[in-house]
Amino acid sequence: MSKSLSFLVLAGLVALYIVGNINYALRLDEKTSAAWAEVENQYQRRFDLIPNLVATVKGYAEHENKTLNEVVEARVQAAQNRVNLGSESDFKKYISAQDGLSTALSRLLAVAEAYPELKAEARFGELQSQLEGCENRIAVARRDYIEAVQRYNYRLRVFPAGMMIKYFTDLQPKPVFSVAEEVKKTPEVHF
Amino acid sequence: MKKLLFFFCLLLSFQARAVDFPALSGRVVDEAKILTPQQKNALEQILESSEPRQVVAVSLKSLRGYEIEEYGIKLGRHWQIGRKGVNDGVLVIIAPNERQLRIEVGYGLEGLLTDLQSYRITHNIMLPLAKRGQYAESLVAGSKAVIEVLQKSPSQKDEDIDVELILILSVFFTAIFNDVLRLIIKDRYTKKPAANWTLFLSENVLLNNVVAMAVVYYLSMMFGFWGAFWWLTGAVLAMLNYKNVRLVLHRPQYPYQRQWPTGWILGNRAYVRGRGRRATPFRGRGGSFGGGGASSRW
Repeated sequence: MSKSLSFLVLAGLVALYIVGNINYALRLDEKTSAAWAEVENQYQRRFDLIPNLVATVKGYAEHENKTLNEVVEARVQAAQNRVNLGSESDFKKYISAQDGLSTALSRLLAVAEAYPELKAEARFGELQSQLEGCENRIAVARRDYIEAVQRYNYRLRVFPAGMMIKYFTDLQPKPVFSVAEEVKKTPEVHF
Repeated sequence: MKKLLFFFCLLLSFQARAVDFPALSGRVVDEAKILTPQQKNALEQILESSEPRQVVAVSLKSLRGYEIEEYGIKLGRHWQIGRKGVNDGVLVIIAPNERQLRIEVGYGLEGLLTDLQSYRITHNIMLPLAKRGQYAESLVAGSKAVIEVLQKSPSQKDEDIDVELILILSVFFTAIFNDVLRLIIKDRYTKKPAANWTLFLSENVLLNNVVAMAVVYYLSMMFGFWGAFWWLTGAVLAMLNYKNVRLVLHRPQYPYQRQWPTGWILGNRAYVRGRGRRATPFRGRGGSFGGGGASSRW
């Protein structure tokens, strides 16, 4: 094999390696976007559920205006949607608003404990189960998102593939939920 | 470098966190051994009526330290219950030792078997029975209720396309066979360019197919190349295996029985004539889960 031919083969292999890595990173990028869309989706689902829950609780526990208002306010806070994943502050704001809503909701459910009639109400149990389902879905979506982003960020940082990806594309590392947030977790609601 | 190491560790820890799952032995996985054989058979029958959706009833010895919501979704994703792209799988799970039960619903069925309906089943049907220690009855009743809900909107049946694997293989093999033949012919032409049997073979497509079939057939019978061929074609066929089209391959279990000596000469009737086909084992079809469903504890 002549020298120039072996050089060509080598160059070809390197090109293949680079193209392969870039395409892989792009695929991971798509996956993280999809995972994030799912997270937003699930938060939206919970968002839509809250008016019913609040209305039901109101019927039995009208003295708990403070807690109810907290939920309503937290819901307004969490109303802003569509986060640009490129900006870390946007992401943090969105997550903290959603976490605020989680806290308010768990407080509301804790308060509801004190009202036996409310607890006995079938509709409340059903709403509660739906809320539980939402929280569970959110947890799953968040976990999937973290998993996707970890792989993606790793690919962007690893040497030398990461350097090449950064050189040829404008992919940026994406924000993850901090560990503290995940440990804190969404409050568990079961009775 | 430190950062890099850190990420590497993260990745490793990700893979190292292997979870222990029971084997998917059928539509009923009775790890906690709460069902009698009769109950198990009856339940299998009931669950089978939901085809092509996949409903699996599971009793667990232990939740391996997870909450049932977490373990349920891991199990569903691990087994890949439900069809790929349709995600129409359901798990009915009971863990008597942890006193938890759950209905895990695949993405595609969340509209039909809503959280609310799952909750009604777990809370009103399964929970009272489980509280009394009637775990088997609880699992059966829950599964029945799930099937009932699903039957309200039956899924389009699979169009099972029966394909004898041997035919597909022969197509693959014909291509290779042709190329090899061409090579031989070329070689022969350079030496003595007379019409010969190889030329005749390569021109005659039908005959070629027959010869290729015979070659594949005997190679696989004699040397057990079957496994390798299966994986090769399986990869291609897997791409076709989605939504409503399913290729049913009658693949003899490996190591398959050879009927000596007729098996060697005439072939194994089991897959020549399609007699004595074994039922394909139940397995997941690439479905996924997103946390839908409901759980109860007692």
